[in-house]
Amino acid sequence: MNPPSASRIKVRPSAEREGRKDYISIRDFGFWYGQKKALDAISLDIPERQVVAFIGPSGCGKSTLLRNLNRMNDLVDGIRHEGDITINGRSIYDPGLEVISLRRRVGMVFQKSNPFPKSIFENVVYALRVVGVRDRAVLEEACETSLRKAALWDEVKDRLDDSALGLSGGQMQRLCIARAIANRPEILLMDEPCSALDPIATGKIEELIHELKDQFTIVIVTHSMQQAARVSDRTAFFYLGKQIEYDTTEKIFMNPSQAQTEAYISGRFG
Amino acid sequence: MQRFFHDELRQLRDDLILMGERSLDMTRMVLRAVEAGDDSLALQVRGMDDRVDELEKRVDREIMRYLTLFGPMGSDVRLLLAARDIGHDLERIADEASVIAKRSLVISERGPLKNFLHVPQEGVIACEVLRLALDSFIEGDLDKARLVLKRDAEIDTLNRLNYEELFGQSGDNAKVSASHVELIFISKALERIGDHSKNIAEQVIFLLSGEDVRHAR
Amino acid sequence: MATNSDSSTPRGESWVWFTGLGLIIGLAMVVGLLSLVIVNGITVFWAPPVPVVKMADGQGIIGQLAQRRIRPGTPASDPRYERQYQVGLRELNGNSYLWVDEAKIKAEEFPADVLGLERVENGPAFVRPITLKQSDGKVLSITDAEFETSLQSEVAAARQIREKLVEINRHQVGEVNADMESARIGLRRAVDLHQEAEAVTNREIIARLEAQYAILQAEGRKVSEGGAVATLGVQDAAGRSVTVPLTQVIRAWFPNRLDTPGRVQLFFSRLREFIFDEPREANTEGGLMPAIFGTLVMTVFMSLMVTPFGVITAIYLREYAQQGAVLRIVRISVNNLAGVPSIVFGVFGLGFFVYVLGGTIDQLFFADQLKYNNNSPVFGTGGMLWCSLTLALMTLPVVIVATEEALAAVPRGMREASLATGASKWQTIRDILLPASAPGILTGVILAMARGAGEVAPLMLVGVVKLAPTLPLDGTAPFLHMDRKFMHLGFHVYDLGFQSPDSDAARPMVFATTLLLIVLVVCLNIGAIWIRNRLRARFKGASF
Repeated sequence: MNPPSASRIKVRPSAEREGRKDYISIRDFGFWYGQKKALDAISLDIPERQVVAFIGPSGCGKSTLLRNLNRMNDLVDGIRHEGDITINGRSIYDPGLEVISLRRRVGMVFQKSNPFPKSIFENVVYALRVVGVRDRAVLEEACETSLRKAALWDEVKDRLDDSALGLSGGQMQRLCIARAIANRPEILLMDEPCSALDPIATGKIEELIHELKDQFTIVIVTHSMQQAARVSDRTAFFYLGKQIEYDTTEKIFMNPSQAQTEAYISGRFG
Repeated sequence: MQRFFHDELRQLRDDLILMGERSLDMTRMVLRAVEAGDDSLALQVRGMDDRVDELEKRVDREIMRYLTLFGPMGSDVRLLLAARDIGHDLERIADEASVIAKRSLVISERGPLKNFLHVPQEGVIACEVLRLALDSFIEGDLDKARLVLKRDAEIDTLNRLNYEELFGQSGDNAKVSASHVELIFISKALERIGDHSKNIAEQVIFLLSGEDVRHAR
Repeated sequence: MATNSDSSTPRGESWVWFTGLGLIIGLAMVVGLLSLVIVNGITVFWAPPVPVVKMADGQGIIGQLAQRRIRPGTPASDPRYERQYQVGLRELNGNSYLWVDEAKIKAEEFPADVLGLERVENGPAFVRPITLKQSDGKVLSITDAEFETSLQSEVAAARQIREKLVEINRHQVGEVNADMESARIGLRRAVDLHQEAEAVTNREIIARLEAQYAILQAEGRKVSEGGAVATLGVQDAAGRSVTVPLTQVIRAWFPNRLDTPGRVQLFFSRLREFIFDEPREANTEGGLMPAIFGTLVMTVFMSLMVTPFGVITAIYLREYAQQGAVLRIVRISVNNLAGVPSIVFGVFGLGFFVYVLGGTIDQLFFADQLKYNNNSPVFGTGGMLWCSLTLALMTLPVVIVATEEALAAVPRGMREASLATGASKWQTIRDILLPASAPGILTGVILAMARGAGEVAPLMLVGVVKLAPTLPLDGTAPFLHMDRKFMHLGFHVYDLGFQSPDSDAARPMVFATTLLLIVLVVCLNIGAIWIRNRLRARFKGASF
């Protein structure tokens, strides 16, 4: 990784993407809920180990697109898609690919933190149990690693067997992050992870995202443009199911190409 | 709580300080070049101006990026606004030093001077005042900043004395040579350097106290 | 000027009083019912002082007061009362209870030597004791100081003899009989199939068993003869004498000599007998142990059967089935099943479970039994298994609905979180949904148990009897006899109330049995609620 201060201050040219391969590729992706078209011809590439933010007004399709990346939308009846999404070169709609194995490689954190009504330990290692790991030593080690990465270890290391529901809101969300990364997925999807949290908790999670991006490719949907500006390397702006602009975060926020983007980020929308 | 982007603010400060040290170095070096008639030193100073210009552009980009992406509040906003002006002033100081260097080259073409009027003294005070202004920023010292505002008057006085001495003896005085006129340019440049130092001190006062002390008197 | 809108009582406040009223009426009814049952039931166990009642015409009776009512036919303005006394001595009086016109009573005395007896046959007796012949032959008179203590020790000795006889006659002879029956079946089969060796073996077994039987019989005779020595000579109010062998006496007490702690002790002793002993005298006396046991076992089996069945069905309906018209129809049918009258389930149980399923099982596995044992069916007749299944079927909708509701109440986020981690649908159900909805499922099981434990009508058709010789769970292999008929508390109440030969004697037992049934159901419910509360505390955050 680049040394701390020097390159962060430079305006990141798109040439910085050299050396990073495109990890997630979305090509001409369209999506329908029954008769309603929710996404229209989305095409974008997400490079590995970067943070990409999806922004846009309510109902613009950003959450829908995010949930398609791990095929969580399969749970809804009557859906249809066209185009393709590939992760690391392989289409996620490949009939030979089990949805379950896709979801094990792509972790997800939800808007409202949803820990299971089990102990903290059991919450974190759930992903490992699901793939069949039984060895207690392995589970404990993975639990500690994940909780450390989620910056929660020091706060809960003495009460791993307590119920997860006794944690504060911010802690619960960090626990959900720990759970999502316990099985070392390659990609982490975050659907408005901070919208239910206060500013301090939000700040902690943003710091966490900043640290995690060394190891994970992160896609985050957020209502807050300021959050997208703070944490992401690239930003995509959506409106009414269409992709309006996708570029480096600096470009989007300092000098966007599209008038709609400019209107949205300056608050002159609608 | 320290956020990861607060590092960028620190980097910005560091860049400004770097600019300040460079400008101060340039001023000191150019004064030595003038007194010693050292052409190579003068040329070196002119080369350094490019570097300071680059730094100014860099500082401006950093400011704009931070303002856009990280939504600063409170004293961070004042820092960013003050930094922009300080950057400009430092760049102007560097420019003035570069001008002095050019004048020095012209003087030395004509042969060495014997009488420098009050220019060396003015130069020393200008450097002191600039040092004081920079320190007030680096150390966050309001007293030093206010001292700068007072001492700027000394530079103005010396500049005026230079004028009076040179043109007081005029008339048909053949002793007023072209080189002396260059000296007046140098004096003027030093006086402007003092003014820019004063601007920097005003920005520092604004940064530290929120008070806008420009255009007083 | 104050207007209506300024009044401090908010609108609609009067409706709150109505709802409170409804609650109070409901509570009053429950409390009233419980009080009625308790008061009438408790009198079975309490031993008040027993008077000697002298009538105006010189006759007298000794008896415990049972009831008091207005004489039928007297005007309401000037009512005349009559009293019912329990005198016992059915062999002399024909009936245990006598009605006496209150107006004709001259005097009531409570002499100290009045004796109450609970007996194995012919019901209780209230008499005046004259003599006691002890088992060592010595005779005591009522005037002897140690009469009472000797009497009680003789009664205790007699109890031991009775218990020994039960051991011999019921258990040991019973085992011999069971072995003999299977040997006889084997013999008939061997003869039928011309297996000489088999036949010879079986005949030998039968001979051996018959010898054992003779030995046991002799032993039994010896014991009972030994117990016949001790007797009690008593007289009733009319002066008639009766000799009561002490082996016939279950309990003896002097009702007018007891102090309150003594009465309380007697009360609890009778209570213990009520719960733990077996019935006597056509279920009008004795205890309810077999009925309690049968009810418990049946309820447990019913719950064990309905829970997995109901939960799995509910999981399928909610999680796996395709949404559509067929699913809606299935759900409507399940809900309607809850409204079907319970006797219909009994008929279904009889027709399908007993005859079709039971008959098939018998033909497949117990053909020998049928052929060589007079066609007496094993599973082709009513029994514990079919009763449990029938009631499980009846309470199935309750469990299904409760489970579906509990599953639906699990927050969607939990489901999504589990699936997003890469768990399969089944893993999500097993590890997340079922534990989280466990309190709700348990609520459904509690409701099912409460409903099932109280149903009587279907049971009458599929396996409950008035008197069962054996328990469905006992010490003989294979320990759990699902083919046996059993006794049930609810049926017991019906039987006592409507089919008893001696309705006066049965009356207090009806109330006591009802009370016991209520207590049993309440205990079951409390147990299940306690389990549910523990689960709820573990899974705090679940909405049930």
